[in-house]
Amino acid sequence: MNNQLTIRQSKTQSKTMTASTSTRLGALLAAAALALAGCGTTVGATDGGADGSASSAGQSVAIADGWVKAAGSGMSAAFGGLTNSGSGDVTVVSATTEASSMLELHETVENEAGEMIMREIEGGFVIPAGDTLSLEPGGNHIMLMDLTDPLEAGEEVAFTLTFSDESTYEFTVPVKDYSGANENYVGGDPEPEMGDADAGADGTGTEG
Amino acid sequence: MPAPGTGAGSGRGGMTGSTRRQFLLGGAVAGVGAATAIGADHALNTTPSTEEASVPLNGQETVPFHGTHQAGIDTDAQAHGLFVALDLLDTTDRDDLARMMRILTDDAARLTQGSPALADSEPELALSPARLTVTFGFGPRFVARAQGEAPGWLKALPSFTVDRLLPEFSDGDVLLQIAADDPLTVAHAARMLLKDARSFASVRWSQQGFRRAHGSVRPGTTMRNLFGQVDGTSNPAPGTADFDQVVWNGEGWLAGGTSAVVRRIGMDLDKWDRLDRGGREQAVGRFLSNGAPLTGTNEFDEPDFEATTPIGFPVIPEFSHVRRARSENPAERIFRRGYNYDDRPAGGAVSRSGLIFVSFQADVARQFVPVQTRLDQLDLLNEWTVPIGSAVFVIPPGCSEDGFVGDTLLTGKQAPQ
Amino acid sequence: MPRSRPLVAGLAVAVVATIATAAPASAHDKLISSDPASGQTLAEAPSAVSLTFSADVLDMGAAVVVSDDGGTDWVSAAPMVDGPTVTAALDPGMADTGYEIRWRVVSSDGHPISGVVPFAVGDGKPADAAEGTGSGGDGGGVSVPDTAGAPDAGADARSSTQSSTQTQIAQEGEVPWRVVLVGAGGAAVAVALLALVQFLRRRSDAGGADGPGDDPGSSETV
Repeated sequence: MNNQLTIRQSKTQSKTMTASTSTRLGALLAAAALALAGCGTTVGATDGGADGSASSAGQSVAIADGWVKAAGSGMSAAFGGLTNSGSGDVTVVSATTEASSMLELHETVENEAGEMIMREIEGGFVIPAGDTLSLEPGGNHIMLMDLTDPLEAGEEVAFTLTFSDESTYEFTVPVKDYSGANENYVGGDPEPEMGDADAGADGTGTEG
Repeated sequence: MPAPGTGAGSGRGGMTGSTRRQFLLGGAVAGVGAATAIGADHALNTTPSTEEASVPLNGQETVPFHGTHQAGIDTDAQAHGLFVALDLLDTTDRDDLARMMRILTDDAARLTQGSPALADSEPELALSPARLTVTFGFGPRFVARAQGEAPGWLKALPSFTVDRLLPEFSDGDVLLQIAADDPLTVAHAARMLLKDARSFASVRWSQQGFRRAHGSVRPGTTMRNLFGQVDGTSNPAPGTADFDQVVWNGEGWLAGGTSAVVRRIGMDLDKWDRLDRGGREQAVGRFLSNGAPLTGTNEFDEPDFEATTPIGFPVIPEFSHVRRARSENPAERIFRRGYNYDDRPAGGAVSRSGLIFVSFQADVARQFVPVQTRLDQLDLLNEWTVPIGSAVFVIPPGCSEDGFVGDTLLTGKQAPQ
Repeated sequence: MPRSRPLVAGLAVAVVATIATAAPASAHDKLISSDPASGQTLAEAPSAVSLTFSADVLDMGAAVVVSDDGGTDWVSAAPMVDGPTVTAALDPGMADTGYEIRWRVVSSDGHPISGVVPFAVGDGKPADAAEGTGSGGDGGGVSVPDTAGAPDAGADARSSTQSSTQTQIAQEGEVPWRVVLVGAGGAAVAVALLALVQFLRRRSDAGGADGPGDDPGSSETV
């Protein structure tokens, strides 16, 4: 009756066991480390640190539930939860991928008019020790400024994050069809639009 | 079955729930005396302890997703079932199919375990899986696009004289069977899956069905249809060799899979109303009270087709449904897992209801078609029923955690053992 | 006293209602005539029998047996349904004796009905109509809806209402004993289970976290 496979990594198992009454979404996201199960996604870390320390930033950080939005051309964005399991804070200073000739790390902040706007973050994403940075539609994200090829649902895209200690972390995430996340980026021109609100009305032309 | 009470204090809702449920079920079977004892057990254990502080929520119960077979077939049928057929876009090729099934598999794997799908825009709706299962099926065109070898039976059924089929309830390239004990869970899962399928396919038809709500009747109780009949008594029991033989196919990329026949059967309740109880029972060959054959007293008694009335006619008429559905050939059996539907009445009628007939069998041509052919030729129940939709799908095997549903067809991967 | 009278009256009404509904439901078709007619004695053996009903019967499930005392069936071919009339051809050579037409048809509402029409040939005597039930006023013989009862569950003709009433009575008659027996058995089992549960709890409390509740295959597997 039960022929269920038992190729379970410990981290994945922690995901499947979290169906408890007290589960909260945040806890789920945090617990679901490496839970890109089912898609053959691989996660690898490259130690770029020169000091031989056992805990370079690239080794301390892992992504959970990562994905990138499908798009025909132009812009897109990547999301997921970056968890720093190390003992010191880390800072993501840049990201690269073959899918886009240019990437930026974006944050969402409130402008003087009280509107939420997005802009390139200065100094990169800081992930405190033991904390998780959520990259999500309407919030922080990795912006793909100029796609080299269409991103089609179900494809997988590799990214490399570089940290302030020059270590790197590589991960692969699937492409998902998603109507929101129409993050636009209008350089220095102060007419940015944020995220998912009102995206359907006018956001399609420049859909990220 | 684990020893009663071992789930106490384990802190995981799903397992605590099943263990406790089985204990309660056992108690119910034992009767009044047992109920008293359960009360005693409860009294003994609630006074001093902090255990079992909360009632387990059935919303937290999960059905494993990965495995040799897809879930949702030998799973005790959930209260709510949604059947959606998709048409592949003309541009969707073999590589696209693999991408689509990767994505849909990942969605299903997460949602069935109570986790939001990736890019789930309503993640809170995923947190009560309520035994959600998602079962995928492929129509003839899917297998053709996948350049796979299609089983000979993967095609529209032969046309039966009773059929009045409507295209809006027939055929399709992909089947999604989405079932759970919570309708909101079903709706969310369906939406998530359809959002992720839209780059590859469009919705062809959708049929929503229901059974008794969770907790209304004992788990495993044979369903009743809207005629009031006990429907599905002769099913093989999941977990038995009999079931395995009836349901699972062992051939090639399909090993561990099966087939699904989904037929929408309109039931004329207004006409049925004009028939009294005795007539209804003769039409089926079973008592309405408990589903026992007219020659027996209990639901699972074997019908005695030889028994005659005092003036010599069969007690179970030769034109009754149970007689006609029964084959002398033991190979001609199927596993039914249908759902009721109850549409908005139209045209002055007070009901537009019926059955989403769903059967699983290893081989449609060998098992289903002979049965339906007999029913087409003679079945008194045909007086009140009319098939208005029909579709056949191959149900691929389940997948492992590093695979996806359909990978044995789309990548040549070995089926999980 | 003031109370008992309505009660008695209520019972009487219930009894009357039961009797009333026990009559064949009017929704079904009825046999209104036959050839030969019920109780008729024919001078010569007929070549066919025909039965005429109050409405068109379904062209499905019609069955006719013409049986002599020895149980030989003289019907030579499957009966023909033509609107409200069912005809069955007979073999030649029927002896002078009593016969029964035993028939079953599916009435226009889908309800199978059946009955017996006695007749005789030559100096034979018609068999008695089935005893004690129904009336011969339907144009001859006994015409009742087929019952959904066990084959040995009673005499000849009953309405389904009677049948189900009897079934219910039989079940109710059983219930107290079964409740007692099942309850007693259940209690014994449950007490044993309770003891076991208590024992296991104590043991697992003492033994720490090695309870068997972590068995991943315990339930609801694929």
